[in-house]
Amino acid sequence: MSGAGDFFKVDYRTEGIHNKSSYGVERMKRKIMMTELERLNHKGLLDDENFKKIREYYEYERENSKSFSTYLTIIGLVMIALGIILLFAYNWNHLSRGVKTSLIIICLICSQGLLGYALWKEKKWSGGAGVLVFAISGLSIAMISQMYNISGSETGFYMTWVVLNIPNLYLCRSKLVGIPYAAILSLYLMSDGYILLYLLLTTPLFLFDKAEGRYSEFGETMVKVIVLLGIFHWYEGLWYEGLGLGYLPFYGGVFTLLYLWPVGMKKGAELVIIGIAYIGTFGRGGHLIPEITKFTTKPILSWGVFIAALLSLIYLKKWKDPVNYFILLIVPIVYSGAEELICNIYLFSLGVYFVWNGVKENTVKIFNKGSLLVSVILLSRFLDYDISTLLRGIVFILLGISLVSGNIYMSRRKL
Amino acid sequence: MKKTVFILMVLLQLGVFLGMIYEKNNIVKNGREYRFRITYYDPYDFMRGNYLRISLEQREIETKDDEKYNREKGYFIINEKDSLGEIVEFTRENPKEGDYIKGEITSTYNGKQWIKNPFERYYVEEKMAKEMEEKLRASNEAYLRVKIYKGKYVIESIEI
Repeated sequence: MSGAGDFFKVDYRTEGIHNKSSYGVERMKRKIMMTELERLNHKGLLDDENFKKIREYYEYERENSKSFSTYLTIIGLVMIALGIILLFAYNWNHLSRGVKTSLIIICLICSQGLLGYALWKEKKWSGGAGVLVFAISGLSIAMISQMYNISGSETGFYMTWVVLNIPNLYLCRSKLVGIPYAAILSLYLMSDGYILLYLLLTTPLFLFDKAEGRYSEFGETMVKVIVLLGIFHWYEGLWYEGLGLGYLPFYGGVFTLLYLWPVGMKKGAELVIIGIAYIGTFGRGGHLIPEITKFTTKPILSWGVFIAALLSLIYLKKWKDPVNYFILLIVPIVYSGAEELICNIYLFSLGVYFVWNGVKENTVKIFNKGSLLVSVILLSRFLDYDISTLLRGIVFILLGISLVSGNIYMSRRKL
Repeated sequence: MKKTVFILMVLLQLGVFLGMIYEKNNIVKNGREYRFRITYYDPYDFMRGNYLRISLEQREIETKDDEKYNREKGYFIINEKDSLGEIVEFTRENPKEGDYIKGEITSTYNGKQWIKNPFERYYVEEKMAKEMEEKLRASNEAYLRVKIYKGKYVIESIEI
């Protein structure tokens, strides 16, 4: 399990690297343990499958411990790439176009050669070499406009840059290349690029990553966040031009999709959805961040995202878990510009569901999450001066009575 | 598979670069030269370094049809007048004949179409950028030498 993409994990291990003697002791311990495990395996006390799993785990650990030097190599290669960019950015007016062209070709071929060497001889460098190729290939196109003074469109430049590096992504399968790829792709969309082409060009980021199924969590998150920022920026543009369809329904739908699909953003998406519903509890946002609480007037896009989420629910066979319905409800609730009462009921029910689920599964984390949600809603309404004191008082008393009586009823049933 | 993709990547990256170089050299070789009167100042691009932001002295063209364009992309037809280049017309269709470049009308007002500056950048060394800026302040007269061929252009130099 080597690979430059894993280099971020080195942060957690630096302590051991600084202390050389403890590092040696650790290695010795690992060796003794492996001998012992082998003995247990021979005696039949440890089955082959588990023995293999344990051995692979420790091999992975050992390789990760080497990654500090890999990290330095990668940083070095990235610095070289940046240095070359700066060198060419100097312009060198006294050099002819022919000389500049030759220098760029030499740089491009050298970086590609280094990537080839890394791919077949030193795999751990491949991420860094991939970044070098990514940077130099972009530089080569940028240099055309520098040499011939063409203003041109930045959109075309960014698109050509990423398209030229799709094979690079495939070969390296490293988030180290994925991050600049996603960043340049986002710049493409931000400079008047097409949303569909943008979405199409994001697929290699996830497609090639899945093929080997290994990635660093940090790099993975970075790529996803950059891709999402691109989409949000695009949507901001639509809103600015009067084509926006409402922030809350659209983002509600997008994050519902992210919640349902196994793309590793479930927790973050859940948090955003709770946030959206919470804003809704103030009734069209009240005085809280009014800009982001604009409700929709044109339904197509929001409902499109909602239907996609609904189909995902069916396709992914997640209909058995009630929480998915709860999450999905956010789109119609915020789309309808629902009165604050519905948002309050929605969020309160979600909180109660979490509490109930936490108790049922004996999971303190879920229980606390639900309790926190219920507490925040109650506290917010208690301090909400837009609702009359009398109404607040009555609602609180009724809710309190229903909770107490419900609990008494449940406890008697158990007895 | 891996080898094929690697070779494909190498050829693609080199091919696109060389193809672009060939296209631009073709403009330099076969393009017709025009001089445009300009003003400029000096910003920086993170990848391409210092450049002079050029602004054409010509800001608008006479409206020849009743259409009121607003952020409309199309083509500028270029002609020579008093030994200087001039944008004479905007058209949405590719002219296919004569000299033209891609362009954009930002707005139409008072019978005039306001043009988006088609030549924005002239890349120079840091020191030279400052020297040129000072020279321009002194003379207040500068021209841009541009070669145009089949709708595409290459900026050759700046004359002060």
